Amino acid sequence: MSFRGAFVALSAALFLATVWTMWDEGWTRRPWKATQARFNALLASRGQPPVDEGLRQVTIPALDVADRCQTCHLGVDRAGLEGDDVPRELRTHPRREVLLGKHPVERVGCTPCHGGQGLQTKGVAGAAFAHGRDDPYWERPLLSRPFVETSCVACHAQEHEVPQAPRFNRGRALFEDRRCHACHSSRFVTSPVALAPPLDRLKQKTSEAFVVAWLKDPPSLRHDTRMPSFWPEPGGARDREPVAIAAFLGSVNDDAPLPSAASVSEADVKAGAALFDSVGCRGCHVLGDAEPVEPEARFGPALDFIGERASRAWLERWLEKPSALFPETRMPDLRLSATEVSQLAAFLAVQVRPSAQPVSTTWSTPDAALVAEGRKAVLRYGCQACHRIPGIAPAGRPGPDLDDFGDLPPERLEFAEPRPACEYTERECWTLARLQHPAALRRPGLDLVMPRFQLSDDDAQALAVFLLSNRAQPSVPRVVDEAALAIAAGERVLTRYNCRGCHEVGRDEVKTGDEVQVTPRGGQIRRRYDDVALAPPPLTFAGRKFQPRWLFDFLKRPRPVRPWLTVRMPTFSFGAHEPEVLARFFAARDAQPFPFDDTSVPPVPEADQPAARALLEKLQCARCHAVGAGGDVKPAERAPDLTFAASRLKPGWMRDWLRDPQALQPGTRMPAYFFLSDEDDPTSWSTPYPAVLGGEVSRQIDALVWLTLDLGRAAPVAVHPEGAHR
Amino acid sequence: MTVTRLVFALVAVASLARAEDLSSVRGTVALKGAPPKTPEAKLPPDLGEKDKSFCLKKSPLVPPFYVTDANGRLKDVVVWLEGVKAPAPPPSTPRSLVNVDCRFDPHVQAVTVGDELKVENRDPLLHNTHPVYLGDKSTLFNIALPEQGQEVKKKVKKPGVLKVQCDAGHVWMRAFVHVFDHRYHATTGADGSFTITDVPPGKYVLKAWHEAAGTLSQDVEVTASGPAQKDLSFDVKPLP
Repeated sequence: MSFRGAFVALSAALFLATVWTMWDEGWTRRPWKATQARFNALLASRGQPPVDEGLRQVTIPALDVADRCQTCHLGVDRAGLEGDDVPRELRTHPRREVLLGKHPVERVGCTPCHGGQGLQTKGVAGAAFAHGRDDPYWERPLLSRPFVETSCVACHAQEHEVPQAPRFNRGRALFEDRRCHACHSSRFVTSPVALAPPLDRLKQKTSEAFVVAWLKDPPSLRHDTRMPSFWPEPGGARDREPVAIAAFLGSVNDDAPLPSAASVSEADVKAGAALFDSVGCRGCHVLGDAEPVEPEARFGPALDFIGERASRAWLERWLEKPSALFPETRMPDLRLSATEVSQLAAFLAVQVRPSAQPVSTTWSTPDAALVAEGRKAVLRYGCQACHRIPGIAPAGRPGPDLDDFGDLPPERLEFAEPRPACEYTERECWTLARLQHPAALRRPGLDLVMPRFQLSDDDAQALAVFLLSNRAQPSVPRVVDEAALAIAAGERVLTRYNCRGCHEVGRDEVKTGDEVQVTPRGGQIRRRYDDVALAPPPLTFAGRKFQPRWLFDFLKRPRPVRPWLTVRMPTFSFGAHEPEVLARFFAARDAQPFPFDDTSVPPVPEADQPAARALLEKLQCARCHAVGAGGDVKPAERAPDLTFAASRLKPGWMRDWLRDPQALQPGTRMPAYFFLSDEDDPTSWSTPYPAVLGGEVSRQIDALVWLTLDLGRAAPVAVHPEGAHR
Repeated sequence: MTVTRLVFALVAVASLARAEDLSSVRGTVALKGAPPKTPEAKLPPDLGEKDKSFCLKKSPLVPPFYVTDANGRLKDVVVWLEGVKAPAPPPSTPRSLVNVDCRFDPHVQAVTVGDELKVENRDPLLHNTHPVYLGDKSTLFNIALPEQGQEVKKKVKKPGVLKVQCDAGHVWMRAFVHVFDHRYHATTGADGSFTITDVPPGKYVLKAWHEAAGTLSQDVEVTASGPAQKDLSFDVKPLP
């Protein structure tokens, strides 16, 4: 072949190679081109104009973000592509109006929420693009769907509930509820640990046999317990260590045995059962419930078989004043009389399985070697993180800090073989495995003492989402106003004391068509009362209703407002600031001024006063309301004393209340006097007395409010004796 | 416009054609056994003098739980059909619930969603009318009627069984209002008879409810040839 021929051949080869490279670069190495073509075909099939071809990049220097995700995901911010018939990668973003409405893609990008490498548009080493799932060098692969919520908290940390992030919220609540922060820190949980019961007075309360059985397998004795299983597998240390720990606890408990409680009759047990149903126990405890109950009613331990683990004498002491035995307890003082205490204890003490006997407080004389082994085990497992134990000093958190858990480098994730099946990323799978099967990660040389918690699959996923949210990521905290902070702080107190076990605080309204479905938040205990007016009152509008000063005083020292109720507002051992936090919370919820509010009302003109007084007579308020201690009206068993109003209620709320009581307190016995003459016209308010005060509803209401507040100032204020119940 | 008219005309023709086929279910409700005596009211200690002097003269003060005629037929039983497909739109009928002689009248009634309930006070003292749904214990309304002759109209929007109470100390007062989302219901009169009209032919379940005796159900087949006859009987149950 001539030189010329070779040259031509070489040129042709080079030309072809160039063309091939260009073609390859354009199509094979730029898979997004095909995706864009598919997207335009989709648009064309719907009669919509195509989008311009080309790489799409969003650059947000403030967040250090340069995302090219929308090069392929062209439908995310476009309505109308939600359907299942659209390929997933081209679909509209789920809940686009809220999620992208609040986080515009051009300002936030994609990777701050979804993770992944924003710039990458090609597969690794010629492979198909897989969002880095196949690439061990990506530190932050794309988050799996349920775990996208791990990103929200970078900006939303201060809010009580992160909007649209149910898993994160549930996970954060679980972390506190299961006392994870007794052993591990988290950058998002600062509240103190609600201690588990102290392990003193054990010999007064329960038997050694119970303690051993309990340690071995807590859920088998109480299915809802927060106590985790330290020996989830039978055999091995489970046969030895619980016995040793019980021996040790026996050795450090030297309280004198309680004098046995006075004998009780069948009638006392029955009276105790009635008390249990009515005084409010069921706000936090279940007992013999066949139907599933709301989570608030499971706040305290299930009492189905309480008689098998607690002696009657101890129960009496406990009910008398819980904080005397357990100063940090969240169980409030119900101010029970001595008779009520003995009746309730009698009822609880007989709650045993048919085959079982009430607990007998017998303990063996401990063997010194066993005691020493038990003490060692207590220290090793860190029991003192949750329980106060005589002879063992409380220590700091025994477990590793989890403040940066979400940044754990991939090489630290060690899986036991065989790996449990899991469809998420390495980090996500490892976290789930750690929570659900801690033993599966155990290997020689690594002694894991973390116990197994009872977690449903959903709970484990929620907790994993929360744990992985703990990252030292650059964050742009959302500016939260004071009201939102007050609400977040109040919600924590509400949760801590389970206020929603008895009270409705807030309502969720879901609108479907014309129907508005209202779901109260909390207060489900009212189902147990034949007349909901005899159940704990809803507090949804408490901020509008109560004067902050009164609310604050009432929380610190409840005084009876409705002495006829069996259910009673208990006395809580609130921390120093908690009553104020709650008062501030209710004010913030209803956008009320705090701490001072103008509660004055303009007086009724003198000329109108006789008519106003006549109206008060006609409406016969005193048929149900007592009016002061000095009046000749018998204290009615139906409605609070009107003289309380001046120091307790806000005039604005009183006006709304007089107009439409059911709107503020559904089910209340307070009837409406004023009515809509046309039910479809919310402005057609009418009065049964058109001749009084010009027949104007608002003038009549103003007059009634002024007169009622005047009663409180003029009449001797009725005060029920302190220490009285309810 | 023309299309709408045409549709209306078609619907009208269709419903006329159906109206010819409509039938009814009728029968009687009996009570087996001797009804227990209704106990006296426990009066609240704070009942006003005026109420005492007016109400306590009325006899009986407490509405009896079982009212039967000489043949043992039971009054105040609500009877209804379940399973009527494509039911006709319920007519809006004015209903009333009167406070009279310290009692509610009628004691038991069945109404249809959308009906307007006229609540009236014919006594010279304050009455309070508070209907509560038995299922979820939610309140339909709670109104005070302080004046004789006063009346308030309220629309009923949600189906269910309402127990009406008076919270103003008249603890003996009670009434029941069954709210249905269809028109196929009736309440037995003093002779224990009932008629459910305008029923399209088909196989249904006939249900009956009595405040003390509970609930019964029976299958019933309605044909175009004539009214279906169904006689029911309740066993006496102890008072609630």
